[in-house]
Amino acid sequence: MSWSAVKVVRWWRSKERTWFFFALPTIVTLGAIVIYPLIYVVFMSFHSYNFVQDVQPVFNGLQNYINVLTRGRFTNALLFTGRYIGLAVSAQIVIGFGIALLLYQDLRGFRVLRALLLLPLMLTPVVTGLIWTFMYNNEYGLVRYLGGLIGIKKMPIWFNSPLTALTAIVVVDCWQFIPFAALILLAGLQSVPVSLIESAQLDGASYRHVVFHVIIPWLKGVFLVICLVRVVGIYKVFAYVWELTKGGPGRATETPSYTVYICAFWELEIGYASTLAVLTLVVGLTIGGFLIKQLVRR
Amino acid sequence: MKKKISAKKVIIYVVTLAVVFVFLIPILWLVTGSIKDTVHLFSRQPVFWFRPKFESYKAALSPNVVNFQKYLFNTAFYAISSTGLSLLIGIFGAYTLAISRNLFSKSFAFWVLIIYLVPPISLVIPLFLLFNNMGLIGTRVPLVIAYATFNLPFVVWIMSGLFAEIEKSVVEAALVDGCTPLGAFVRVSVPLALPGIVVTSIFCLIFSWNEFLYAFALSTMETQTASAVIGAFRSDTDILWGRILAGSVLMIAPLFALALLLQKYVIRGLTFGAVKG
Repeated sequence: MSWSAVKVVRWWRSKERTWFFFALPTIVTLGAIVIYPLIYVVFMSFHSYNFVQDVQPVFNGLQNYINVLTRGRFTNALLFTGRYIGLAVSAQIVIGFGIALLLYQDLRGFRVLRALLLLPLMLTPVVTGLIWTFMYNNEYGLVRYLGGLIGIKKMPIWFNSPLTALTAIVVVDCWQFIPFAALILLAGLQSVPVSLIESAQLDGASYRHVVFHVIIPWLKGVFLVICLVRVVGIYKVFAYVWELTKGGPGRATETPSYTVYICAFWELEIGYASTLAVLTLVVGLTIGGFLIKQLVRR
Repeated sequence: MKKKISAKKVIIYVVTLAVVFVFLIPILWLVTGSIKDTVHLFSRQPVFWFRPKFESYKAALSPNVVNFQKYLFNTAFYAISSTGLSLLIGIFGAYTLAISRNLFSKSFAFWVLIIYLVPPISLVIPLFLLFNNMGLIGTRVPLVIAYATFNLPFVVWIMSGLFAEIEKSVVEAALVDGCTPLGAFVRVSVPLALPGIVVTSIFCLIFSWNEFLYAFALSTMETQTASAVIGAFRSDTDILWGRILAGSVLMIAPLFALALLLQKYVIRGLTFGAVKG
């Protein structure tokens, strides 16, 4: 199907016209507050504009894009986010699924535990970052103390090396979003027909067999949804990096959002930052679109 | 089957309790930290038993020290106005998506989804420049609008799913009986979708309340949110840590109240569309 004049006219004369007017306020608003600013940022991405020094943006063609490719800062941010996503999403799905299986037993009082598990998820991300910064401190932090309890004598100085800094951020992300995975998977588990599990058990299947060959295949769609939500979520992460590492050591833990923010609001290179913002948008929409396509195909 | 084996039950209990407790540690540490005095807060050996002191809260709420309630009020103002605005506009768009099944509606759906995927960082620069040109930085307008950029597509997307669940025949019957589309919408669909509308608004409120990037970039000292104040905080001065922890507790308290009171709705909201069939 495609738009053709005849179709448009026929549609306009039909009752369907009403629904166009219902959608109109949304279209106008989103056009004004999202699409127009996006066009503006694409426009700015072809200009050089330092917010303090320059009176007017100066057109400089593809120079910003060339700079992005040659400087490597943005690529590093993308690679860091890739590692972050890989580690965090897999951990969240595996551990979240484990917790969901525990809660699925639905013993007395588990309802309360489920409610308590909701709390980390509700926490404001900046507050999450703040309290973990406090806990990661090697002088008075709780992490050092708890590590001591389980026999870790020498805590790394968390934010001094790229690897431990990444680990620290992933731990924080997992702390906040494992409950999310667990609660969604729990709802998924509750949608598995009991008869399906029982008939497998009657056939002599072990608990492990039931989990791997009945429950996990049934929950494939739910796993995919969690992947989608978390990948898109982590791609946008700003608050954790801002609170925990400020992108450091060096620029090792910069995410695309953090890089854009610093370029725009600290270095005040609005044109260059706009280019990064456009690229962040393109990459983000590609990843999001790909995952949604996987989801729709099912 | 499992009722007989109580040893297994005990193990499940212990493991689950331990897991949930681990997840609560940072929250407990935050809350206890906010009522510790400075010496206990920074002790090398963590202090678990102490006399609660509320000095930090006094400082956080004192008008001439931190005046945190002003920022909480700002946050609430942005969250409520942006949610209200998005709901008012988006609910009609959602209805189109749910009822109409033609090409226009399909491309509308596509664009709403695309817009929902736009990372805020791509919007924050142009929004800043535009609001700056209009002289609106320093007023409350920028954040209400910035929050609508994610709340509005969210409302349209989620609410369309809810409207689609309402039996089409009910709406059609109303239309046949001489109701105008608007009448059918107001008298039939909205009342039926009311619980869903409540869940959707709760989520918009939470998203807006917790937002940080826009809040940080598009506000000034007077108009900033609680999250921006907490995010701007960077200090090794001991006394300030207590205050910011107290402020954080005040900021998350309403969220926790919401989560515990409306647990059922919040969990249902989390799993919207995630678990079907």
